[in-house]
Amino acid sequence: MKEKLIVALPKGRIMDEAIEMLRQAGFTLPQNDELSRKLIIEDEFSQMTFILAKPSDVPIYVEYGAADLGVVGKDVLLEENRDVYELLDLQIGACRLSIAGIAGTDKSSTRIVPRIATKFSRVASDFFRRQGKQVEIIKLNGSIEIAPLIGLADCIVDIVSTGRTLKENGLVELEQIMPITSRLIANRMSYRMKHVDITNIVDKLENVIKN
Amino acid sequence: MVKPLIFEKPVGVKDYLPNEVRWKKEVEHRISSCMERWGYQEIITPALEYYDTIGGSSNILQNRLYKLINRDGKTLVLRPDMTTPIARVVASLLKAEPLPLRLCYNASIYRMQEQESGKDAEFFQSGIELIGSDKPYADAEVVALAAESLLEAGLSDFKIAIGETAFLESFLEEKASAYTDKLKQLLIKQDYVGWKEFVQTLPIGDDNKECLLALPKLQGNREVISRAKTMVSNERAVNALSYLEEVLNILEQYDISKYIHIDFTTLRGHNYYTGMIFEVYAAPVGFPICGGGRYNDLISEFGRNAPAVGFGIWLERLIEALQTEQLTADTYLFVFDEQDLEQLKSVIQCASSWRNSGNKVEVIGVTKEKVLACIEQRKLSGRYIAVWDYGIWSKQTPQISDESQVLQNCDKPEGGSK
Repeated sequence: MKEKLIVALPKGRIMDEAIEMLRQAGFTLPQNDELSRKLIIEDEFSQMTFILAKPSDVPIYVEYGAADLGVVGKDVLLEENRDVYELLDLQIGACRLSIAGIAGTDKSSTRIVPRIATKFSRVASDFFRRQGKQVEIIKLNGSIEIAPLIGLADCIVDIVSTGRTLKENGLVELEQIMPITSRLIANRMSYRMKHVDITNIVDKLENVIKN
Repeated sequence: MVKPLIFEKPVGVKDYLPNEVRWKKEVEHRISSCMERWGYQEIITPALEYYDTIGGSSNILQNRLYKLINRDGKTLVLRPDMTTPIARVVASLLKAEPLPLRLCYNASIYRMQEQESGKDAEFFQSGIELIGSDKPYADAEVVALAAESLLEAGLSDFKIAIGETAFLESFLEEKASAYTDKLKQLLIKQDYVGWKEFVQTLPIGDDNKECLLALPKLQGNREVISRAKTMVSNERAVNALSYLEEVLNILEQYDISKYIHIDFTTLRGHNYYTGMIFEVYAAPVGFPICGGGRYNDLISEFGRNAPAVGFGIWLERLIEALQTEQLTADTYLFVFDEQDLEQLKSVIQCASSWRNSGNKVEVIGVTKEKVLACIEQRKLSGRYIAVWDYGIWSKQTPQISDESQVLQNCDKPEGGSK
């Protein structure tokens, strides 16, 4: 019997786009309302299993080989720094990682060593180190926009897509760190042991991206 | 005094309980007896080495070395691999030994971990080094022995990903000579997306770009070597490919071609590799279970010209990939009444004669009223062939230990008797 391929998909922002893309590539996935209740989806036709995971857990599932493939944003991939193959830029979930702060202020604040609040502590500290700037990174797990508003931090480093959330909170984008898209990643062992199957999927998705 | 830590251990190290040890030793035994059958002799080197000996051999490992300072202020490291220490020995203590030399090892290796990621900080490796030949038969022997060791250990399905360092280097040199380091870094990080993006920004000809972009897809069976040949013109790259073809021709004699997967993006953490390079993968382990390759210049850094090729198997990862075989009961348990001096004397004699027949015998003394309870409790353990009280063991004649009482495939001295 052929072994099923297991694909980890990120819940939230990217999921709908990722699922739409997989449908276009020929995989049969149930309707979205059904998806929202499930954690594991079987596609008998293409012999694949999809698991729905928290985005930052996707690289972990894939690194350990619990999933063969995964779809995850470049932001999470850089932050998690896991030992996986990055096979394909799916060009979905496009956004950017940026520095933002309160409108009308400069990011070099009154503090000698500015405080930066972020979910992406590794990426942010790498970025500032490369710039030769000393900063104090404060790792937060959500609602990062609050930090500058209540004086916890001078700036934030976060994902910006439309900029609406920032605007609603009186923040402005000060500097773009890098553009972000979602990637197809693969486990090292799976990439060797199931090379033909994985290459097939990569080819199908590449075709969807081209059109 | 500080209260001692009981449950806590440093990240990445673990305890091995008796059952695990028994199984690990069995797997190690299967691998090393395979290596010995091919003429490899075991060597032991110290866990501590000078930083100056080891430090240079690896780029990747720099920040993962366990470092200590000795009395003179010199930096020592816990060995992060076995290849460099063996190179040191081959160039010093063994420098008069004629080549080729075939050495094998079973050793603990130490690498500091950045995060908990299924990678141990202390791990066991069994491996070999074939020193003193720069001919394809040596590369083929090493790959074939890796496969045979794994099969012998009980692994049935795996893939050997083979690359060629010399080809990759001269290929990159030919196509984008100013950017080889960055390109190699991307391959080590297995970042094909970054590779594509970076190649597209390079100020090089379109032909060269196309070749670079095609590299990650240059994978599969040996026909990809002919395709690779059409992509390069420099002599070093062409020679490297011809050499690899010869290695694969010889490997066909060993009948392991079905396990082989050519992948020119294969690169390993150590920077001492100079030619053929390989990694072995098996489900469900997400990391390579074995890795190796040719390193022709490492030993000459220690002052002896000796091309070499070798591999190491990560024992814990291999064990994870194996089906755990049922370990058979192998011990007799005699229970005696600890208050009865006659029984004490007798149990010592009786156990001794059983042991001399090659059996494992454990004795337990309890108070008379607890004998039955003890027997019932101990019978539940899978370790014992039999659990007997005085009435039974005092009348038994020793069984000659036979194959069925030890692990399957385990070599035993004939009959086990003295």
